[in-house]
Amino acid sequence: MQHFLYQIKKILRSPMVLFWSISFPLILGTLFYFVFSNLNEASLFSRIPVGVVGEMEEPYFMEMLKGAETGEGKAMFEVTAYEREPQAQKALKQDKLEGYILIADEDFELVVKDSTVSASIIKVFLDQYKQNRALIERAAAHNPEKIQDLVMAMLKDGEVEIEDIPLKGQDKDPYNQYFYALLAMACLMAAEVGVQNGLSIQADLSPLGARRNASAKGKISQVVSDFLATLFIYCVLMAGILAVLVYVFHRDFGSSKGLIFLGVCAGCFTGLAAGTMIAVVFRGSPRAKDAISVAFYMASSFLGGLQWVKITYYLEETCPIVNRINPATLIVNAFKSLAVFGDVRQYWINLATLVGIGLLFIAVSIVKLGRTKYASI
Amino acid sequence: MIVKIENLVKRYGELVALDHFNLAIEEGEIFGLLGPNGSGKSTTINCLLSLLEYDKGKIEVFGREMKPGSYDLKKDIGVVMQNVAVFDELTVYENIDYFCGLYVKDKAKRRELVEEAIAFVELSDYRKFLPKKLSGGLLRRLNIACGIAHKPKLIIMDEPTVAVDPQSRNKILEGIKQLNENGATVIYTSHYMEEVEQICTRIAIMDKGKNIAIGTNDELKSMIDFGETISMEVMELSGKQVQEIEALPHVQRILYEAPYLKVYFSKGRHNLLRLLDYMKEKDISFWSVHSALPTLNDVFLEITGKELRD
Amino acid sequence: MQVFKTFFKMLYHYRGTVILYLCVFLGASLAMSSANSVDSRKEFENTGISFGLVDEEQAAFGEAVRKYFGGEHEIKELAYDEEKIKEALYWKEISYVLVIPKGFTESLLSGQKEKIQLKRMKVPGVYESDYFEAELDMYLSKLTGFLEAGYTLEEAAEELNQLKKEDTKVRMASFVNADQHDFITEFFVYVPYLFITLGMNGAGLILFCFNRPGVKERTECGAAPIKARLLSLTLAVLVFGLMEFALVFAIAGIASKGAIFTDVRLPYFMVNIGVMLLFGLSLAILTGTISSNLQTVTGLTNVLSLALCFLGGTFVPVQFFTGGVERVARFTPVYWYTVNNAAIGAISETSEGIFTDFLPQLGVVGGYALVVFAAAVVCIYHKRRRAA
Repeated sequence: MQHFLYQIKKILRSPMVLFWSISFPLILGTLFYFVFSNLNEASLFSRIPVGVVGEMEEPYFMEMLKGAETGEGKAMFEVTAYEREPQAQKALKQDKLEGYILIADEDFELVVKDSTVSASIIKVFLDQYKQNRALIERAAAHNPEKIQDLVMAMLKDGEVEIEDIPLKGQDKDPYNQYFYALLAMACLMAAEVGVQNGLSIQADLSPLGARRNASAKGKISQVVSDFLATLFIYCVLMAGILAVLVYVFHRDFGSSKGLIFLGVCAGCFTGLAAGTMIAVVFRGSPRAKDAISVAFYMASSFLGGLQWVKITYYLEETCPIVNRINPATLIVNAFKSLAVFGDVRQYWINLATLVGIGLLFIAVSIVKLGRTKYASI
Repeated sequence: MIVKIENLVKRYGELVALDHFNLAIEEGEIFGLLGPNGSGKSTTINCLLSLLEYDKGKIEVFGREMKPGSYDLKKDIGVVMQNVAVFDELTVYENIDYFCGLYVKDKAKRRELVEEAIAFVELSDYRKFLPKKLSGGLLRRLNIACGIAHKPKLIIMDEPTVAVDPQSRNKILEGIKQLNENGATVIYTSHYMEEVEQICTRIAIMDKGKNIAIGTNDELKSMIDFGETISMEVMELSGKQVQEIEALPHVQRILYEAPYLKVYFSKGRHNLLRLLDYMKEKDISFWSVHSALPTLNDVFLEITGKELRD
Repeated sequence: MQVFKTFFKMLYHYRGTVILYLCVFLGASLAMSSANSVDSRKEFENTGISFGLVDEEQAAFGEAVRKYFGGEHEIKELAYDEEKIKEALYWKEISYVLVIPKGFTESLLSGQKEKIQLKRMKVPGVYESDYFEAELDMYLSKLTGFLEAGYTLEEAAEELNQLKKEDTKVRMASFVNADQHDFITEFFVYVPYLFITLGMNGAGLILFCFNRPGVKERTECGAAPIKARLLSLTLAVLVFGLMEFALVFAIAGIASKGAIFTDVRLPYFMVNIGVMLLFGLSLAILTGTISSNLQTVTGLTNVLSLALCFLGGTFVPVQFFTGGVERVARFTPVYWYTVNNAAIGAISETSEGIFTDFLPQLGVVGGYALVVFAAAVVCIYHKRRRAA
């Protein structure tokens, strides 16, 4: 107990360790909050500037274009007519247009600068127009008696609604994925402190390590005390960070906040265990071991989707084993299984795997520590 | 016998750090391990503490073989490392309490021991200080306190006075004597012969991983022929007078660079008297007479041809 | 020269660490850019998904759906088992599930007021399944229109299959490079991330070693003037930067099989990347100067690299930024680099004055590099005076 308390004191008096453990998730969480809430608002539309070169014989083409509305009843397009294509091309080049419609012989093509979302929306609208036109033409050719009914029917809103069978989780926000990945990285960053703990017990790396090795208390027992104390601190820190994310940034991680917290603790456990193992198993200077721990959590976080959300999808297709054992992915999947799917069973599977990996790291560390004999110190 | 090292061999690659090293330390001794840098002192200590694996030999402490897992033996051993080994984040009190806790589980007893250790090293005024706020000497005292707080029967001190001011050094040496008087056996390694001469009851001189001489201070000095050195300042000495002084009984050699005269005598009695008689007889003025007995450096020099401090 | 040489001796000493960071960050950049260059080109191609179909009635409507959507999408026939379906969604085997309940076709054809509803399950926020659902909604809307107009289900389905062929032709403007989303352009998107992380973790780490207590004091006691030392260190960092620069273009060269070196865009890319490199290096110098321990170096690297790159459009496209976020993003140099990179990627031919289009953005990034470097120099002098 004495060493547990002293380890806590040591960590609390190491401001840099605490500072970065707290500041990284908070700073990035704040950033995500502003960026992604903005993205949600961005789906509240702003009019897409589109040019039209040429004229259709059908007069209502321009009317339809100008009259197109979003689901909220706002105008979809800001339409500008151009007499000649070079004018439209110039406007496109100067970013005054998202694209322009080049009409020729009652047909048109869409000219764009890049495959953006706005360009896609213009295309979808034009596809609709073409299909409706073709529909009427075909009806006129094959079923002229039905044209009127067809037109009336097409003008109505579709009557087929699709009932949503909700996934049991309450998380509907697609950007929560980033926050899960952020939490995963924050947990795994505990590996850096794990390395420091592992280094401080090795006789060949510091006089302190030598003194601790020469003492009457077994080094494994000391390492375990250090580990548990550090884990305790990290769990408290992560609880604070979770509270900020939930109550300040209003991230809805679902109703099972306790299980989310437990997931975060398991993540810290594995991060710490990984750091300890790196310090004990790998040969090299303390700095090299530090670098390995940084590489570990950066690589794991990347594979868990922090910078690139789709990676887990690609990995599922190409190398699914990575998703099954990567600690960051396990943490993210544990949160998702609760928050999105409401699947507690899957949550526990992920958590068990995560903790199992952590235990494996600890077991390797203990075996290595027990067997370590120094040829020189 | 509290420590017995038999035939210890330790290699670092091609380098033989300990070459069939033998040592036996009795209970109650302050045993000095003296030798120049690289002679194998720290290697001996680290092997003794089971911090290092060795290639050959046997180490017994308290009559039993010492192994890395011999925690029952380690309970009675205290270590003061050559480099300061304390936690930067803990205060003086907390550091001593922490390390004492690695040996003593009972909280009340430990509190008592820690207070005694703080008083012993005279760090009472600094108990709440962090190590970075302490001077080198105070830091060394803290280092010692961390090693002896649990009142071990065997204390191993590996060059504990390196980079320490003279005042702190004296306090440390006095403290070691006191620990010994309180019942601890001390193994003291150093390359400062003055310290070893001052406190050690028995001394082993090491060189190149071997035990080249062992005995008390007097025993070691009696191994060499060298007796004493008499120095004085003499106004004027002619060449003939220098030769005559050199011809005096037991004179090994003489160095004269006006006004400094140094005469090296082999063992013998009344060397000073004979020299003074000669000066008086020849009516030679002199002053500042100083007689120095042989040092361990002289012992080392005679045996190995090298100085202890190279 | 001593300081300059020592920098590289230390870099050699820490080569393992630097290589490790290089592997991680370069690996990540390569993976993302490789995937994005493929994805970007697919934008106007119909993106097929795997969706699950639970056809409880096995009737005409199900057949119609299979025929219409089966060409483009992969249909997985499933039985209705909520748990199994959720598992398939969870493991991303499918992105969307459509359930056709018993009696749906009859209800659809009968024109009953109280219709039997189709059901769906999907994971929120997956772009492809949202896109598919929009397509499905349009299909259903048109289908009911046909049915209301008196068509049979089979006729309506056939009409819809024919109408599907009506697709708007899309072409890129002639001034746009068809390869604007090639691997090279996409790879260069991640260059800021690479430069910032490698610079701060690599060069920043070495500079931190020069500023360690003890070493710093000993250096200050030396006879070499601080200006000379600063110059040496800056030069060393620049050479380090040149190595990064060469590496980036070596990778681009390999990926393009040498085509980049004859590409009209090359000089513009080089200037844009070169200026971004200067920013990364100045951050490295600042980090090495102000950090008092290794945790600060890694902490600053993690925070700054991710924050700047998220805000700058490296990981989330800038086209999605509006309002306040866009205003803030414009203050980051990475934003302007990304804007320039996209514009350069779209170049198909050079013309007089084209470089002036990029100058303002380059100026912003270069300005930031200067400011950060100046801040580093101020810190160095301030610390020196404080120590004295």
